[in-house]
Amino acid sequence: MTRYSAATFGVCFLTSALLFSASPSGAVVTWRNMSPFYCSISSRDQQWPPSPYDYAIGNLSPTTDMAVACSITSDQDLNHRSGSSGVHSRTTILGSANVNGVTNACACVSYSAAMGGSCGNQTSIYSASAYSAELDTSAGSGSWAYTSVNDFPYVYMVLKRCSPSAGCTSYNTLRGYKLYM
Amino acid sequence: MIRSISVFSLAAAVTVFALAPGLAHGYRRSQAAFTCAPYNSDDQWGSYAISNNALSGTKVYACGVDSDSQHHPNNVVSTQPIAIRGSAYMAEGIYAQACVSYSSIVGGACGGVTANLTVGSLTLFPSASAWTSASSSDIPHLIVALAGCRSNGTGSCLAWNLVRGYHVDYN
Repeated sequence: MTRYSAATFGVCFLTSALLFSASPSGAVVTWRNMSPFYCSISSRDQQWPPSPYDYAIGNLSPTTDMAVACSITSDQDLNHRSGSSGVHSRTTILGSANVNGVTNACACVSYSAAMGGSCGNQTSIYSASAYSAELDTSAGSGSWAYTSVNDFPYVYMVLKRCSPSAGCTSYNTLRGYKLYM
Repeated sequence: MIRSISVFSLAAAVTVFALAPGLAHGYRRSQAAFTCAPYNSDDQWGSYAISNNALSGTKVYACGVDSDSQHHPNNVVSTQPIAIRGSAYMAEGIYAQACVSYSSIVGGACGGVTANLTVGSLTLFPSASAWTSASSSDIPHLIVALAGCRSNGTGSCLAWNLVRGYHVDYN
């Protein structure tokens, strides 16, 4: 290849890159909101709290905690590894917390190509009101930065029991969760 | 001029492959298996996966597959468009098939059932025949059946059949 051809190739590569990145199918998706009604509840039925905690899933039990895992839809428009080189997406959970709290909340992946998975650092929320909590996706071996784009991202949390124990009026809930760049 | 067109074509082709991650398997969309719903029972979990934690009986899950105007059941790639990732302690510990619920009439259809022949971490590729013969507006999903866990001899589980998630590759 002559110097002229190499230069032409380079110019054409850049031109094609600009055209490709600007095409409709290459449109950037920067956030994705997901409903908690997709979530999995470990060994229990999914429960819906009464007003004003409705439009959410929640723990209606005054004695038993509820472990929740919620899949994050992952595709080539937006996934847990979206972003510039070395950068990963972020995730936030939304809901309400009582004095017992929403505990052990973390961002995880199940591995695609091997058994097991990993999670980031855990967060607990005792807001006694509405919460919006960004989960750690950057620390340690659970960092999404160290996972494969093919892994399956999800969020995990424990909705502690409702309160007061004698006739619940306050609930821990999950109203939604989001993935964003 | 002809050489310039050739160079441009080559550059464009190289660019597409360089900038389109996963283009070799089309457009990939993935879900963790926690989105699956168990039939007439509660969810059960294993290690970063859904499971069957009973010593006997098969646990059946239905797993929704997102569908939109570009990525729908009859626009999947022709070769192994569905990949279910899991692990099994026994041959035929995991069964899977791909189905649709019809959008405009009652009912639906499913493709053939596939089962694992190996143990350990594995991938199942169920037939997408029910998807490729469906309407673009039909609603795709997967059916996954997990055989019971292996007993440790004292009434507890020692090993499980698990599903971690699933990929669908579209054109």
